[in-house]
Amino acid sequence: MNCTEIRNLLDDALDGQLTGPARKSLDTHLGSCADCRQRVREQQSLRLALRELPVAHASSGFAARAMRHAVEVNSSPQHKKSFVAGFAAAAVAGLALLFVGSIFNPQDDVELAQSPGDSSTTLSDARPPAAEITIGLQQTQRVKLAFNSSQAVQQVRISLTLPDDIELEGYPGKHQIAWSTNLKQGENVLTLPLIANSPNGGEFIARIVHGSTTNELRVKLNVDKAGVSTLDGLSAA
Amino acid sequence: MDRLYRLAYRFSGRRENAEDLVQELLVRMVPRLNELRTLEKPGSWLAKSLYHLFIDETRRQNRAPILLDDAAIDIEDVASANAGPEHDLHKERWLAQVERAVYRLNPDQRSLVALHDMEGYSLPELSEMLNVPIGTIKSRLHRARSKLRELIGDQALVDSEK
Repeated sequence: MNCTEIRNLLDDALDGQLTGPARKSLDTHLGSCADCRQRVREQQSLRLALRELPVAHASSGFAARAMRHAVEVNSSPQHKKSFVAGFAAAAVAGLALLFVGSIFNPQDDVELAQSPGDSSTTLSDARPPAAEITIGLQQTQRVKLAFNSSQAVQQVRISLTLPDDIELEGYPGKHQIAWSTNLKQGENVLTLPLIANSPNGGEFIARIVHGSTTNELRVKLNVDKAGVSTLDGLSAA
Repeated sequence: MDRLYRLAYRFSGRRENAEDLVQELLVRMVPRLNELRTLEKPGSWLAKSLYHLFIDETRRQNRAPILLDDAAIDIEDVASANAGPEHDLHKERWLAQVERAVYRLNPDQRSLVALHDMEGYSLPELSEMLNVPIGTIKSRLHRARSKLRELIGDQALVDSEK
């Protein structure tokens, strides 16, 4: 192969797509061609730079603000959505260890009551997890749940149900934990320091109860023996 | 949400535009929650939707190509986020050069480079996301990278003449 042919293979090679005889030809050529080796270094340098290009931070409170706006827009008479659907939307949107829920909106509670048969408005055990997280084995992984409340709410009951081999730091052996707290209007963040004691994983359920209203979030927990923490395939913050 | 914003920023190069993109995506996503919840990879679905939203928006607005002086990059934010004891002027200059070139690519090329070379979506993932054969993705990426190298070369000339 000449240099032109080799250079046409570089993208594939750097993408890990080049195998077999073509790969051998490339390696042989690179062993004897300084110009092509230099071209490889340049392309590697460019790819590294592309991965390292910085990203300006989103404005403060953007995630909660954007989610709130999306729910509000879809709560117009033409787009009215259920209370639970809004909560699930937030959970799906929170793909970076941040779950944002719009909760305790009395108007939406009415909507929920009016649509008991709608699968999006029922809380059954058959519901799939809203997200999937992979945490490291035998190390504390902090998972943040952010709940956006439309109003200040007194005496909300929060309960956590953890799989057998997952526990909350400071509460060894306890898999049902509940407490009462107050929610402020706007964003309320709950940080959960989770520890996996075995590679088994399981499903983690968070419930917030106020009066007759219950919000539930299910998260599938996987455990990585190598200690790699991810959420939906992303590196955890 | 962080990953969506990050991808939107890669596409648009500007915080305000990235936030607008994510906001619009969320508005469109809420009515399709049930569909989303049945997906095996909602993250890929959202990335695909964001990609199409970005392309549609740029075409709708019929924006002129972004010229060097207009390169819409939040330079101040980026610089402040990276200043520190390991501040490396040479590296920073190189990254700035690459960044300017990236935002001079056309939106189709830029979004493909963003998805694959910046955010690490694999060729099979892109093929599925964009509904085109892997070979087509490879060809488009090859052209985009060639254009990128050309733009970086142009920029290097501009810098050396300063």
